[in-house]
Amino acid sequence: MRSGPDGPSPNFAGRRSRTALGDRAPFHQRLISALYTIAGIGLFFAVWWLAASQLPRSRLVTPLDALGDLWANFLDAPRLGVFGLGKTGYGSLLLYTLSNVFIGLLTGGAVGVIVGIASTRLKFLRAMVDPILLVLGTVPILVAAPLFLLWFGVVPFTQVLLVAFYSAIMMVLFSQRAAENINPVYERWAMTFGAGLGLRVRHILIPGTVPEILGGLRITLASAWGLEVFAEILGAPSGIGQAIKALTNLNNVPGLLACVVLVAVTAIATDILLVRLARRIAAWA
Amino acid sequence: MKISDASRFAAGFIVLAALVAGWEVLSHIVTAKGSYNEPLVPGWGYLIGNSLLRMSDYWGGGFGVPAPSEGGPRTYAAAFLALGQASMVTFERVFCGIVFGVLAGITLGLLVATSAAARRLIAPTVHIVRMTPFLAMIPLFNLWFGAQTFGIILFVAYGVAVIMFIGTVNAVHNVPKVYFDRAATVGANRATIFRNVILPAIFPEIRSSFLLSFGLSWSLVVGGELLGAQTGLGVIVTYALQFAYTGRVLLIAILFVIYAGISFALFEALSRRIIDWHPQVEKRMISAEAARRRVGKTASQTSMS
Amino acid sequence: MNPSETILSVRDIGVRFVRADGTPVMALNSVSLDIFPGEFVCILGRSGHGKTTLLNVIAGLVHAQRGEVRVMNRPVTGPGVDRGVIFQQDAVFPWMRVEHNVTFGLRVRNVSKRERLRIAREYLTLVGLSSVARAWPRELSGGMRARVAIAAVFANDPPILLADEPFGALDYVTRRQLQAVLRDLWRRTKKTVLFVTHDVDEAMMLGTRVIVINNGAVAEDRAVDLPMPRTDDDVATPAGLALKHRLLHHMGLE
Repeated sequence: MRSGPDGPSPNFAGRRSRTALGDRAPFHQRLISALYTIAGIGLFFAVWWLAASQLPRSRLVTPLDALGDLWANFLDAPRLGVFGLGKTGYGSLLLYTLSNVFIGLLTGGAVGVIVGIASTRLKFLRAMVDPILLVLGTVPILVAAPLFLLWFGVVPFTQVLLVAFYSAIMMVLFSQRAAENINPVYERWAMTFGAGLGLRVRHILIPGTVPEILGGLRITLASAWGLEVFAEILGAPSGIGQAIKALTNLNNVPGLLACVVLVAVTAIATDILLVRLARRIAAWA
Repeated sequence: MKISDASRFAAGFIVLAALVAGWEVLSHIVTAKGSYNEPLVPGWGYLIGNSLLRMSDYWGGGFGVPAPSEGGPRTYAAAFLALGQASMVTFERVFCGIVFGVLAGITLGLLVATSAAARRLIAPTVHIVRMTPFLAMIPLFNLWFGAQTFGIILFVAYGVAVIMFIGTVNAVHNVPKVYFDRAATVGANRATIFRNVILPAIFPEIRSSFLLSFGLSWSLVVGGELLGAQTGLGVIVTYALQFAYTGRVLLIAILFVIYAGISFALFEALSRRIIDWHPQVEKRMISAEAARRRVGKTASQTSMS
Repeated sequence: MNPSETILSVRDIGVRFVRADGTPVMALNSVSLDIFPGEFVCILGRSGHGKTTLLNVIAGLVHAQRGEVRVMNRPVTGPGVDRGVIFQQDAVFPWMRVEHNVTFGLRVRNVSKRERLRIAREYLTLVGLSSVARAWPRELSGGMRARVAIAAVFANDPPILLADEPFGALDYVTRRQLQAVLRDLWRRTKKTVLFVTHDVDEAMMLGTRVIVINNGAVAEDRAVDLPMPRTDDDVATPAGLALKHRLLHHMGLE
């Protein structure tokens, strides 16, 4: 809604005017959106159910079975006791995975953001960082997983290092792009007010890059989950990945599905939280 | 702050040289050995003299080069043949996975994109599938399709298809409405619009989705092979892990890096020629708009609404 | 066709939109018009008052809840080859060379290749772009791309041409040049043109008739009794200034 000199005027010029056909009030639109979402989720489970009913139990079980296994083993999974994981359940294993993901993401990400933004200002840093990224950028970070395992052993540090390493690389790239995408006119205007580099960094560079950095963080988070679970499957003292490995060895399909569902749900949840946080921090964007 | 292509190349070379030299230095500092007497940080001499040579263990004989497992000597020829053979298997998996994944992803994407209702209905499923970490699905794929070439190709295809599907649907969704309007005002039918408006307009976005899935496919193949395959490069790593053969793990890692890097550079160079008509994207965009578009775009890539 | 017969008739068009907060607003409130063949009608109004909506309804791109539009006595149900549109946004396809863009409509109608190229060359010359026929759109300036759009629409030879503030994004000099180009093509091809603009001066330079839309309704509908072709001097006469003040008044600006 635009406001002219004589008060608000209805401005429906442009795209919006084309979509307003008929008497649909926004509430109805929101309702329909919600219905589509519910139907879509229902479709997912319906297809799962259908597939499960057609396939043998050794391949796929119904959503209900998977959820049942999840519920039963969340706090205590006796089945896993044999695999050196101790007395544990999916829940505490998930906690291990979750904390590793966050520690790795945040430490690696912080390093990445600082190095990335700084490299857009300091030529020498840029000259050092860019070739390293060029070399490491296209590399599947997974190849480092077995190496880290050999070097540091079956400890949490191995997985955290992998996630942190990956996060740092990704966030350097995202931060560089974010810093470069800021319109130079903002800084020039600030300079005409006599603002020095420090003020400009604080009031323009940092706030200006936050939305894009948070966007990049979201993408990195999604991949970090996979990396962490994979590293755990390879070798770890705990974690959902270890549960998956154990259950695969046992050919336990309900358990395996339950763990995958758990990972998926947690990944989606953390994603939503990050988006909410991002919207709060960068509400102006 | 632009660095010319030539100086970038030189800088990359210097960094590479520094890494190589630094590694050698490190190997003399960290002389600890793991189990089976393998140094934790093997120097280049060890890597080439021992790790590389012993790759010949994997050679089953042929081409006039005897197999060490049958009493023949360990030779570099056998080593390279073994690595080559393993690489071929891995290449096959990556290539087939990409091809099937791209075909499936784009086809499904175009089908779904034509109907707004279909798109909204499928959206939650796509979101769930997309947010389930690919690597966590490897054990499931092993269970369903086996851990051999077939299973790994399907796994790679799955990951690639998901990326291409989402990219295609978003690309169609992002085609400016004015192009459709223009086509309608000259009386174009759906087929004409599809061929002359949709397909060319989505090309740049499809290309970047493809680059993304290209990079991803290497990760997926490594992941797939590391968890249970019996042939291919990843398997060498699996065996090496059991015996703490750091050298071999490192060699295979380097090999993967080289392969991924070369194929990526090759493809980027190739595809850059095809998009000569695409208007140059404004490098410097107004931060608010760019950022909003980015966060919003990521959101829309997920919600697909 | 009998010259007193309308080529385009708009009857009682009502278009209603719903704002973000749910309240409905009438973008167009019972608008009726008769357009005759060969006219250059400028639809003038402030941003957001309904002139683009009106054009979109006539073009068949927006559906009106009430009323009817008839073109050559046939009701309008959607976009059609009889109403060419020059859009406000840049609609030149970036993936087709200039020539190809101009022949797009002709290709849709399965015109022969030789004929297509002849027509394209003719219109590209008329808009002054014959030297860039094989260029990519991204190599052209905004003004040149606007010329491509004009050539493309004229090449398809629609009896009615709808233009939605096509020169709004261009600088003053380019705008004047393109106004001249459009006017020349109109006089040469004798089409009926509906030209939407918020610029009074532009409306007075181009139109044989000006219709002012204010708050979704026709506020003024007046023939422009100034000589054609028009110069700035013709517009700066007492008659011209009087008309300008009238128009500004009906737009709500005076």
